Amino acid sequence: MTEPNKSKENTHLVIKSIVEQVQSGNGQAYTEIIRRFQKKIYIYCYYLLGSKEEAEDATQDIFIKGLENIKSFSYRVSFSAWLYKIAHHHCMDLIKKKHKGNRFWISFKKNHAKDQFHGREEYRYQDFIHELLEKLSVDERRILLLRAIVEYSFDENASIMELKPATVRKKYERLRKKLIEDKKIGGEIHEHSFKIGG
Amino acid sequence: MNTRLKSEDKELERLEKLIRETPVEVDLVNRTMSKYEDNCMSKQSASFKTHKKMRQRVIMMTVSAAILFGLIFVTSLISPTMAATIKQVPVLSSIFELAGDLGLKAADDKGLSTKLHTSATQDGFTLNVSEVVYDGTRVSIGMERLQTEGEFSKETLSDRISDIELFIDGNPINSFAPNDSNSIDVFMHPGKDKASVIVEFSDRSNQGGNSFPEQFDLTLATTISGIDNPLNINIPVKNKIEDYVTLQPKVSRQYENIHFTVEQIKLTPITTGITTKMVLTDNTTFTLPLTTMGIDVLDDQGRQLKLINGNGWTPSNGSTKVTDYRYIPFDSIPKTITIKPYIHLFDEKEMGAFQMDENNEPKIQYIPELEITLPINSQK
Repeated sequence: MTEPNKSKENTHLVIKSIVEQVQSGNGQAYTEIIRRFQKKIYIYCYYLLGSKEEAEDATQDIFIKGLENIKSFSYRVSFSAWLYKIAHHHCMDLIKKKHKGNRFWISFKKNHAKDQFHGREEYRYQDFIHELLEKLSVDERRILLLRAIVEYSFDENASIMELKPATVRKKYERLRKKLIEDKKIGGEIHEHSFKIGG
Repeated sequence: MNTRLKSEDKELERLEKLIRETPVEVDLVNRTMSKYEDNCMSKQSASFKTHKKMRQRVIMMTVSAAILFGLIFVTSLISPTMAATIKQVPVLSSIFELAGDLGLKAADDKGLSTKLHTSATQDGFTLNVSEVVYDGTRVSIGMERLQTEGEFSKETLSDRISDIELFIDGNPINSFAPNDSNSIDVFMHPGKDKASVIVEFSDRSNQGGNSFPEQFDLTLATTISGIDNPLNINIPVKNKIEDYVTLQPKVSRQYENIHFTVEQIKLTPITTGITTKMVLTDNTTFTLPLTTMGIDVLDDQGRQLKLINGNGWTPSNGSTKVTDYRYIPFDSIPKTITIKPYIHLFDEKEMGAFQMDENNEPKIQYIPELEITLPINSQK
């Protein structure tokens, strides 16, 4: 659901009017907000949390938090920045709960029972991205994801992450080095699921 | 400051695009809204929630029973000889028998696996290892949690496992790895149900690492999310396979800048292990679509083997790649083995997205110039 540049301004206005409707009590209008942002929020959660099930649950909870708090939203930041801030805090809470200490990322590949009915190559596509993201710290991963999914500038990124723009820029430079170096000298993993009877 | 290569920026942009365009369909509108309404309601009435929980549990039990039944049925379709064995499947059937990996099923049927009942308990969570097999190519471990009720039963076991550390005769498995960056990965495959999982790993002896011993004590330190200390289980592992077929054909093909070699084929009753080597003769580095290149493996009847897992490694110069693939075994040793390398087709408009066929599977394209057929003269 990416909007061409021309209509970007227009999209802002549409969202603004939907938000106002929801704020004035029309809860049903919120479905349009979910429809517009769900894929991006889902992808953000998916690559931060690592599993489809967790990403689905988190996406729903983020939108619910948004709806519960929408009355307190004012246009000091854009609505999407506000939503990503909720997403960011929600995912960080989940990660903290899940992994005590600093063992954030799981050092091996999971193959969920559910995945066995999906195409094997689909798994490989996302596995490839997970592989690369695995080399990054949590902060670096968030910066990359925000830049990739929302195409935010360093300034916007910094405001969501509550960091200085210069810090974000520095971290981005570091993650770029990590990824590029690792692409040349790196392992690669295939993992295929079984398709029963297929 | 701006000394970096333009191509490096492009690489990163492409990765960002890959992330942005992850092929998923997300439709959570109705689920989110009804979850929101549920939340509001449950605040008003606590009893409503417990009723709903009960109902979910009943539904889940019915569903898992149906899945188990389905598996037995489908497996019997794959192999007619299964019909007889199905009758013999005991009530507590083996994870290997039902997991869908025909190699592990063969191991179980032929008595090549070792049945165990070794468990560890922490904070009321009991993890049990019930079966292990090692054929010189892969070590596979059938693991299950023993609780059937309570909060633990809702999630799949693989979701609960947040880390597994492995030790061979007391040494971390990565002491067998060729170097720090080509580490030995632990795979988790689905077990027979939500409460079971197959943990699997292989040595990197085809990529410069050390072979595992023929017989060793394996320690699994499994971390379960929500439980502070790992659960430690020690099990004996032994390679019981006496007759493998190992071929080192070193047959090569060249197509454009790709030099492709089949280095080794190892057939056991449990796994077909294939090691290939790819060299880019113009010293370039691997980029899409070559980074996602794979192989299909067929016998003389055109029957294709299913891939279990594999791992590739690009040493420091970046233009060589050695890959170990592990497939299910052939029913019997075939007259020939054909290796068909393929690449994925990427969407021209959406960079990084696969082209999909009518079954919503990514489209592949074989590279016939690199195809290799090897005769097998049952040389034991």
